[in-house]
Amino acid sequence: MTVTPEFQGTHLFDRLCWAKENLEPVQSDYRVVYEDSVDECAKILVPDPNWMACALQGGILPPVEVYWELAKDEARPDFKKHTRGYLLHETKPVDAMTEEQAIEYLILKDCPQSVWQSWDEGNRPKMVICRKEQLPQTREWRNSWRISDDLNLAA
Amino acid sequence: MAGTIAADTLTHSTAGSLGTQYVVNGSAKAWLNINQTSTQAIRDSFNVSSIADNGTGLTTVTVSSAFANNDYLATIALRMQSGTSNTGSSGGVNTSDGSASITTTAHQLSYINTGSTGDADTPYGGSSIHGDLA
Repeated sequence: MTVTPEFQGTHLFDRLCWAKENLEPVQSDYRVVYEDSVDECAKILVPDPNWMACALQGGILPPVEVYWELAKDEARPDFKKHTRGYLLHETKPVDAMTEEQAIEYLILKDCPQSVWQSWDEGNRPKMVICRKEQLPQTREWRNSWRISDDLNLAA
Repeated sequence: MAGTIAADTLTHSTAGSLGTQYVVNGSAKAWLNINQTSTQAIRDSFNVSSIADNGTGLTTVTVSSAFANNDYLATIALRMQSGTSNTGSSGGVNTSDGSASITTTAHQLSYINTGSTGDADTPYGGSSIHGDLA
């Protein structure tokens, strides 16, 4: 089994270089379908295979809260460039995740906060985790895809 | 980090010297190769955490190691479906004066078929991104 070096304090880019060289990509069958605008079709989040390998390996990716902090900085009207990029590199990396935990992390990182903060509020869910084979198999009417009103949510 | 060589200049025995800042600044900091047809998928990549299928011809790319600002450059690759490529195709990055904004971690790729002037999925797309990392 490949052992992750001690990466706290190492630039995240360098960690990803190590991962690319040492880890096999993992193609996840999970997809996250979400709606962030009533005027637009449903979006589908696809995990990156090399990123998923990092998540399952552990000791490489920073805590997701780091990305939230950087997003807060970026949202400021006077933002020019990141001055707290060190958070990505100096914060203790997260431990190995299961594939399901990795998908949850990815939702918190890459889906709009407005979606995951209130995904189950309103008349129907704004976000669903599913498997690739549950999606339509052709791209027909892609720009009209919505989350089904008849969705049965697992408890 | 183990195995590190610190150098400001690389010198070839006959061809001259090259400052390592050329290597650092000139290297792509992220790249990916995607297929938008069927269920959108990533063939291979570096420094990407996910893509989002935003509709026909549209893909948002999100990176792991954030860029210092949103002035990075994404060079777009594309090839349209067999049978439509002869009519021409085009791709670019959607910007804030369009329907998407560029952030330090995400940008949206947009592909069109110039023959039909409509959005179109490409079987071979992606971007190579140059810029300064945070």
